[in-house]
Amino acid sequence: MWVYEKKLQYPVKIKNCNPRLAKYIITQYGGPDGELAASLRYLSQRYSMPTEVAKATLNDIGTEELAHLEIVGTIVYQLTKGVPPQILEKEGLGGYYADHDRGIYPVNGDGVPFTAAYIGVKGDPIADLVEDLAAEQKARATYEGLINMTDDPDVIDPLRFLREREVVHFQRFGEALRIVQEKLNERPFYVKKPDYAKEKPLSNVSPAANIGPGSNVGPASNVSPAANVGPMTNVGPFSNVSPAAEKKKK
Amino acid sequence: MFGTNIMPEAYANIPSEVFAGSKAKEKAAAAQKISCHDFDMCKLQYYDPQPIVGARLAHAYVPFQCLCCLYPPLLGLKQGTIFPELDRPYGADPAYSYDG
Amino acid sequence: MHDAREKMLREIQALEFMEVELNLYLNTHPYDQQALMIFMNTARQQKMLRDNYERMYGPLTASSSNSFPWPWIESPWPWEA
Repeated sequence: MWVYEKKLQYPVKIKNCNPRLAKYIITQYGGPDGELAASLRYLSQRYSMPTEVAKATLNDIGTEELAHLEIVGTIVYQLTKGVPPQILEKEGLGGYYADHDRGIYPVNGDGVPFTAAYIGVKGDPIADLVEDLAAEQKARATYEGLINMTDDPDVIDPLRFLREREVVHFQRFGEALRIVQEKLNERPFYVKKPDYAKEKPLSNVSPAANIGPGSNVGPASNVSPAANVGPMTNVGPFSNVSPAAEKKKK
Repeated sequence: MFGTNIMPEAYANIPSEVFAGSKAKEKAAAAQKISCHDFDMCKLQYYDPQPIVGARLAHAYVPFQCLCCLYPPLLGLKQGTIFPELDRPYGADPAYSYDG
Repeated sequence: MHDAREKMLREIQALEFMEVELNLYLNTHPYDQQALMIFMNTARQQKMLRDNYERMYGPLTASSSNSFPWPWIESPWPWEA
C-alpha cells in the first residue's frame, strides 16, 4: 500500500506563468511517455515477475513515478495559476479550459486523453523489462524536448531533475533484466516459462465453498471461494477466512 | 542474510566484485569518509563498467554499477542522482547535437 | 521564518532522495554491505530532521498528526508555491 508524504520529491517554485509551455508539459502527465503511463505500467507489471529483485525494482520505481506525476502536475498548475481565460485561449488552452477550467487532466500535448493503450503488460518478464527500458528512454527524450522549449530556469530545474531520474531508472531496469535473464537462462531455452499444466493448484480444498450447518458468517466477512468453513464456525465481520486459518480453528 | 557471503545461484554468473561493494581503492577511501566531497575526483574516478561475461545472442545487457563514491545529499538532489557515474546532465557536450 | 522552513524541508528532501536512490541501488545489489550502512545512516539522520520539522511546522504524513484541531489539512500543500 502507499503512504503519502506532504512534500514534493523535488521543490517546484515557478514565478512566471506560461500557459503555452504548460500545454506541452502536460504531456508528461497524461501522455504516452508520461509519468502516469510509467507508474501504471511498472505497478501493473510487478505482479507477474519471477525474481524478487524484479518485483522490488518495479514496485519502487513505480512508486517513484507517482511522485514524479505529482511534480509534473505541480509544474502545470503553477504555470497556469491566475492566468485569465482570454490569455489561456490565446495561448492554445481554450479547449482545455472549457472542459477542465484550472484542473489538471491527464492529456497529452495535443489534448488527447490518457489511455491504457499507452502501456504494455505482457506478463513475460523479459518483454516487460525491455519495454520498461524503452519507456525510460522515451521519457528522457521527451524531457529533453521540453527543456529545449523553454528558457525559464524555474521550469528547467525540475525538468532536469526528472530527466536525470529517467537515466537512473534505465540503469536499474537494466540490472534487473540482467538478473532475470541469469535466472531464466539456467536451462538452455530462450526464455524459460513455467509449465502451468504441471503446477499444483493453489490450495488443496474443493473449489465450491462448503459452509456447514450452524456457521455464522458476519456481514462484511470475506470468505474466499475455496474456503472450507466447518460447522459451528463463528466468523465475525471484516474477517478474511483463509484455508490455513480455517485449519487452525479446527 | 545480512553479513553472510552466501550467494544464491541466480547471481552465480555475475562477477563477485559487484557484490563485494566498491573496488579496493575506493573501498579504502570510502572507509575513511562515507560520502565523497571532492566531486571532481569522483568524476575522474569514473567507473569503468565490468565486462559482460557469458553474453548470449538475442539478449540485451546493461553493465552493473559498482558503488564508487556518493555526492553529498543536497548536491545529489540538485543533480538528480547521488552517483557521479550516473550523472549525465543534458546539454553538457556542445559538440554532440542532432541539429549540428 | 518562511525561509527557515524551506531550508529545513529542502534538507529533508535531500536526505530522503538519497534514501530512495540507495533503496533502488540495494534492490539490484542486495549484498552490498557498504551501501546498506550508508542507507541506515541516512535513514537515521532523516528521521531526526523529520521529527524536528514535524514538531515545528506540522505533520508530513497523516499518521504523524498529533494535535488539535486536525493538522493534516493545513496548508500549504506541496503544489502550492
